[in-house]
Amino acid sequence: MSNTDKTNFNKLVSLPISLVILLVLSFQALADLKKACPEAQSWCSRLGSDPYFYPFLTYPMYSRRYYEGDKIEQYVLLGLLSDSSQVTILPEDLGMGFWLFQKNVIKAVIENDSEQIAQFVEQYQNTHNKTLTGLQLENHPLVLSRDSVSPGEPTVLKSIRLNALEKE
Amino acid sequence: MTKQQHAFSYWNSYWFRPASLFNLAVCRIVVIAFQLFYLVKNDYLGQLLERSLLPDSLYQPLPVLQFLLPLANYRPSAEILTITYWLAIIAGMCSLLGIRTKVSLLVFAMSNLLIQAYLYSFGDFHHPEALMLIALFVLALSPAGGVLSYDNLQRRLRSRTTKKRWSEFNIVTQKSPWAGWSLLLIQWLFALIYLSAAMSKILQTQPLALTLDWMNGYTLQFYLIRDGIRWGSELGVWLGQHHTFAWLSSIVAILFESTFWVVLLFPKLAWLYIPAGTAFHTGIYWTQRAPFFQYIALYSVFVPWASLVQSLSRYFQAKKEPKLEVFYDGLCPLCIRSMIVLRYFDWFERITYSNLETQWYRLSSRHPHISLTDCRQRMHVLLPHGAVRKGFFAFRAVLKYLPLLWPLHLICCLPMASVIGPKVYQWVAWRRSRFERCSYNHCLVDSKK
Repeated sequence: MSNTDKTNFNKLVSLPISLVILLVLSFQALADLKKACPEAQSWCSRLGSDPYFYPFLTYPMYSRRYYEGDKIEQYVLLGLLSDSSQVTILPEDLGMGFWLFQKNVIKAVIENDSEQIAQFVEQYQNTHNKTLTGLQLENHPLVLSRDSVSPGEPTVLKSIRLNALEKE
Repeated sequence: MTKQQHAFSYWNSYWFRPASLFNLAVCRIVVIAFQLFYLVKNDYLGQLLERSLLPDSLYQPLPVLQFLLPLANYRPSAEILTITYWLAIIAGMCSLLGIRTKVSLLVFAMSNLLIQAYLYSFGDFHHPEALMLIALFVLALSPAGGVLSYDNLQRRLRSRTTKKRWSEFNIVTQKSPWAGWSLLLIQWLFALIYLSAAMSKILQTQPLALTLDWMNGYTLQFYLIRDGIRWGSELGVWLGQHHTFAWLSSIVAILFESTFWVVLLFPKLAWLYIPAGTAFHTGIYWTQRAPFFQYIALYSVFVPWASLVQSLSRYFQAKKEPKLEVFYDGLCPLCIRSMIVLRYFDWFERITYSNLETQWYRLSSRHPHISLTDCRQRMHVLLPHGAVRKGFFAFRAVLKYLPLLWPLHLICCLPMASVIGPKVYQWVAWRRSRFERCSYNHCLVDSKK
């Protein structure tokens, strides 16, 4: 291959690669641009939010700011049995990890999503041979101070009677 | 030159200046080895099968998964997921060894994306794998198998055997205009990602403004204690109760994330930022169990591997470390092939390769007891202190000088290896004399015609 041919060939190959470079950088930059977008005013606010462009994501993990006295929330999901006793329902009881449990089960209870709740209850009953009569979601928070954490007042966030849910 | 031409020329000289193929190949090996380990260690197959048992109502496929599996509402079955997983493992092994590197890397990247996208199609997603997935595609489009690959070795063997002669080469110094852009692009992604992480901490939206509240110490205390309790890290819970530590650490974290892009301007700063980043992600794992190990593996794109190897090579030369000398039959195709393989792994240039046809006089004058016929039948090496090793023992001595082949050297040093080794060597040498030399003679006859 002569030098001229080689230069032309290099130019030809560099074009599609340049396009790839620009596309990859633009996707990553666009994912972030949404953050700086004036809400509901410009074109960038119409871009889908994470994980719409997965694997191009924004990285806002751990970005929320906290202050002294803020509460570290700890959700506990309790199942009420027919003999009035209580069992703690853990993620592994439903074949899930922590995050799937939080983002599906806990979310369904908070939002009172009866269809989803019914599915999880059925799954739990089938695998544990127990009959649930109700669910109770509690928060057992910890209060942040300068050099320690102390337990806060537990609160009941949601109490669901499953018979009522069935009727619904 | 117009402004556009100037910009185009600058763009080309930045992204497509000749760069080391060796750097790219080492990154390929590090990144793929990590990803394979990650797939197996984290039981991705188990995770896929576990997800396949979840009800359809929870399945919300990511857009990228819908793009990869463009059938409406199609949810891959457990069998398809299992096949995809094993396809990823096989493609990963092939791309690690550099067998059909481009195709295998592309298959590896695609199958990894499909697996990860499926796992994140149940209302929950995380960040550690995203950069790795992009990097796999970028590497697949680059000449990552240009050296340190089975493909490249085979190509060299074919071309040298066709030429019927050995000529010196060095894979460490080989350059290509297409070798640099992929590593640079991954470096740019690192800079953008860290900047994104820093901006989300120090920029507040509505109204858009800078805030330093994230560095108040309480924020990091909160995360350390929350994650420490959630994931069982006693260190995290303990550190979370030390306000000054949390305050200082949060300042360091913001400084690191917001200034990482400086490495792109001053690549030598990588020697500061890469150890700092490794410590940063390891610390996050120990205290908060957030596993960003992919980033540590991907830091390999900042390491000038070829320069490191060349520095070591120069160090040995400066120390006047004596070299080992291998004598090979320059008229034997198998011997030439063997020398190519040895040279391929001789990164530190610890071996001198001497053709018997040209160096025989020197060898025979120093070692009159060696015969040319014997030399042609078995490999001979001259050790730095003047002793000669033959056959299997010569092979073993050579391995000792090639760090990459030390595992093989260890095997050759096992008990009974001195008994079995020479027999195996003899068997191979016997086969060589039957096939390779005959084929060469045949070539001679052909050339005479």
